[in-house]
Amino acid sequence: MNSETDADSYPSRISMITLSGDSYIRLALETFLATPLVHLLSGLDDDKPIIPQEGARLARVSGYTEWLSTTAPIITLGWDWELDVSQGQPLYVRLGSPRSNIMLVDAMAHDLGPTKTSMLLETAIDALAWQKETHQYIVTRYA
Amino acid sequence: MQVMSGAPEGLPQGLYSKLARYRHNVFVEQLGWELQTQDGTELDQFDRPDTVYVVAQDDEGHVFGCARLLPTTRPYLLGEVFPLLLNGLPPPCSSDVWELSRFAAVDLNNQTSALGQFSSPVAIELLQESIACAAAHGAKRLIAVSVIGVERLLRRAGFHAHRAGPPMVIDGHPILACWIEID
Repeated sequence: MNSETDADSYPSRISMITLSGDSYIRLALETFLATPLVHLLSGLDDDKPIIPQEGARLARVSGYTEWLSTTAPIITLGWDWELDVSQGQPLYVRLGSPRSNIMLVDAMAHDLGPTKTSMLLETAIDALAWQKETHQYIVTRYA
Repeated sequence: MQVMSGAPEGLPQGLYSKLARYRHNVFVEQLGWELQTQDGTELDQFDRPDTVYVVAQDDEGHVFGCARLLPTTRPYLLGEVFPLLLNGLPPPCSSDVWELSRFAAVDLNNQTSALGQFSSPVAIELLQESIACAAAHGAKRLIAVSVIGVERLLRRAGFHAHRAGPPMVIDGHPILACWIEID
């Protein structure tokens, strides 16, 4: 049956990570979500960094963080963040849209476009546990 | 802010030398990049007679911003020095692709730091001028070799940009290559 053939071929199609001539890595959202990312580096925006410490009164603290896949070609994903101190315990919160070489595609391998890709990546980032590693790196880097 | 652009021969007398000293101050003295220097100036093999510069000056003629534009049909920084930033792809070579490098927007007289430079409106204006200048030379796309701050600036300024590869820490400085589409 055709439907079985399609179903059989679909997993191999979405699992491909390919680098296009325009430098985009085209992949399905499912493939991206199944690809582990590792922390590369993070930094603060401020010229004179303020190290977030428990109990300290914080001015606005913001920065960026960079994550990579261990695949070849490499998926790169970076985003801005700020510390939200409104709830007492400082919380790292993503700011704005991510920067990457990712173009998400649908089941037919058609581009979803930069806007939809960005929106889906934002949701994916917010589901990642990136805050702790970012905080540890920041504290070490600016100690 | 006054923005001048052109090849060295087309720039007002003395501006090229001021630009070279400005780049030394920003990239070597403030950012600590290990670059080719001579007598307090920073120029390399890509600063040629055909290189196009965009230079921002204040009313008193002090340089407070710059960018360098190179056609990818001739040797350029990414292709010659940093091809590893392209994630395995060959460096572009096309008359409608230009490279943007050595972008800075540091006001040395007002104590703008090199670290905080990319948050200023001046930086956005200089970036817009640089992209317009490249377009005027036939560019339809730019490939930028830059620190992460420039890429963040591009995004904030509303440009359509995406990465050509992951950032790499080179001599202690994270840099990357990113594409800028000229609409």
